[in-house]
Amino acid sequence: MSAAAWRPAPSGTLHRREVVAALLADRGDPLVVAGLGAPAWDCAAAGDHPLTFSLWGGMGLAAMTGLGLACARPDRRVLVVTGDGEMLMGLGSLATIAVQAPPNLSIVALDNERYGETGMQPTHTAHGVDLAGVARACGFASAATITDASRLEALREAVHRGVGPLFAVVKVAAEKPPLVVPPRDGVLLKERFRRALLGGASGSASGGAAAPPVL
Amino acid sequence: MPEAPKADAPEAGFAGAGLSLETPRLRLTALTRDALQAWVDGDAGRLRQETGVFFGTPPTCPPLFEDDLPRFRDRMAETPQELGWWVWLVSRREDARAVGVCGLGGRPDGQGTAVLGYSVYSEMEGRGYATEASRAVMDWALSQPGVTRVRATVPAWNQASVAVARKLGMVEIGRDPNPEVGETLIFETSVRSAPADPNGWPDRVHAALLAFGVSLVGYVPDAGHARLIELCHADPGVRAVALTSEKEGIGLAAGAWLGGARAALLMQSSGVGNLMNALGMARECRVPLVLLVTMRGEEGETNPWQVPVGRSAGALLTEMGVGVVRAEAADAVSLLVEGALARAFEGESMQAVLIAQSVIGVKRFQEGPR
Repeated sequence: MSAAAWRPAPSGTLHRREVVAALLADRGDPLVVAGLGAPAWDCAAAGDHPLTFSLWGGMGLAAMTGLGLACARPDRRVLVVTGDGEMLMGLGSLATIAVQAPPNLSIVALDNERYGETGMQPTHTAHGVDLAGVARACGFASAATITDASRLEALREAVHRGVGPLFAVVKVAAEKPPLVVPPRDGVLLKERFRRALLGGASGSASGGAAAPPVL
Repeated sequence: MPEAPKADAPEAGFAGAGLSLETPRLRLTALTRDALQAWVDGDAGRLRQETGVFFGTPPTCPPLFEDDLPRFRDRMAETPQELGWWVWLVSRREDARAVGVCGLGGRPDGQGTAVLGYSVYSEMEGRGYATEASRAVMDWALSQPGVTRVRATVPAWNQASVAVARKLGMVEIGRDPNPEVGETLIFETSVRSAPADPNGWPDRVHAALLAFGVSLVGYVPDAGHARLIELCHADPGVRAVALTSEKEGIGLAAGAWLGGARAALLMQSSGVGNLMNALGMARECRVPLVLLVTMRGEEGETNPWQVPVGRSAGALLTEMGVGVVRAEAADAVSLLVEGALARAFEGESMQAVLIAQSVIGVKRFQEGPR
């Protein structure tokens, strides 16, 4: 189903699938971490990709996984796509990331003000908690809330080429688009990511950037 | 670690050359093929001729040794140059009576590990003979080229044997829940790679992290980790990342591994309680984890709120599928960390090293609670 078939998003919100499709179209460089639940489905709907690591658990850890990746690969862009509920469970990580200030890391929180996988119960953002304000207070170089599709292209440009760390809240409609799920085998997701990024020789457990000396 | 006792024949290696060690109360004689054959034959006279030691008639074996006797005889027949690497007879210097045996399971393995065993006659127990004799054999082994550590595998039920291993300065590095013979405890020591230096373990752990290519260290501060955290921050090859909660470290390590880098995490035992759901992610994805945990809530703890998770940390980690070893002595920390690093990164597994409170000291609240 194409996004165009949906009703227009309520004023001040965007369609989540359109946001992710715009960020990942001709995605090029970015390595992607998708937070559990709807953001992972959104990334899968944009096209399953070996360099998208989708979380099926570990709620609250998407941004930190992005930080680890950004530290490991300063030569690559890293994009974390997550949700408001997931981000609220890892608020401390915004402080940790701001202190590290990785220039190649962007975090985009798709904020529908709901826990989408558990019955659309309101999150704290529905009561006014301002995630971009938290990021700004922590010291993110760039933190914004987007409520208008006209700013999507600028967001895409910042994710692909800006100097981070960047944190963006995109207010999205409280809708449930058709389910598109990524593979759920964690070892598969990890192995294909490492193989695509590090090459065949580094796909094994003992591969990687720094092999230990023989002891 | 005391110096190795002087051997009568420092150039060991010839069958029949005679190889013995002396301690204050004991004499240890490496048994040759002929001596072992006399014992297999039950010939106390010939055994006395070969060793100079008095046995009963017929000569009995100390516990758990009899079944292995023919095997040791065969080994010494095949490789007489391995004198000293198999069986040492222990006797009392004052009356030349047999006390028991100590043994090494042959030359060291590729890791430089020699395996020590010991058994004394029941009427000779309780006098410290097993410890005194085992120390002499252990020190002899550690003085040989290619030996970096000595291991002892001890039945968990045998408290006397467990006590000997601890008195030798060994630390428990693992347990084998062998259902056939019952649970055994694995003890190890080392002098070569971990010289006795109670204040130096953080420096050796830092060196081990570098040797294994760790470039990212996440931590929630603990007083016990203060020195190691300083070393990591001062090292240009390591990025030290302060975390607000230990669970963040699991995401950090997962992302690092996805990107081809290696991370290690430092925390105190209370932080283990903050890890649980995050460990599920690492387990499902087989993300290598190395958790170095300084223990609180143990002997001498002054803050009762540290006790519940401190007491449970090992069990919680085990339940989540993390391999857990525990360092009871400063000498053992880096040795155990090296093993954990190898197992984690070469087998994509989760490993924790618990560093006992007795190693890091007890926190006093002279300046008020934190």
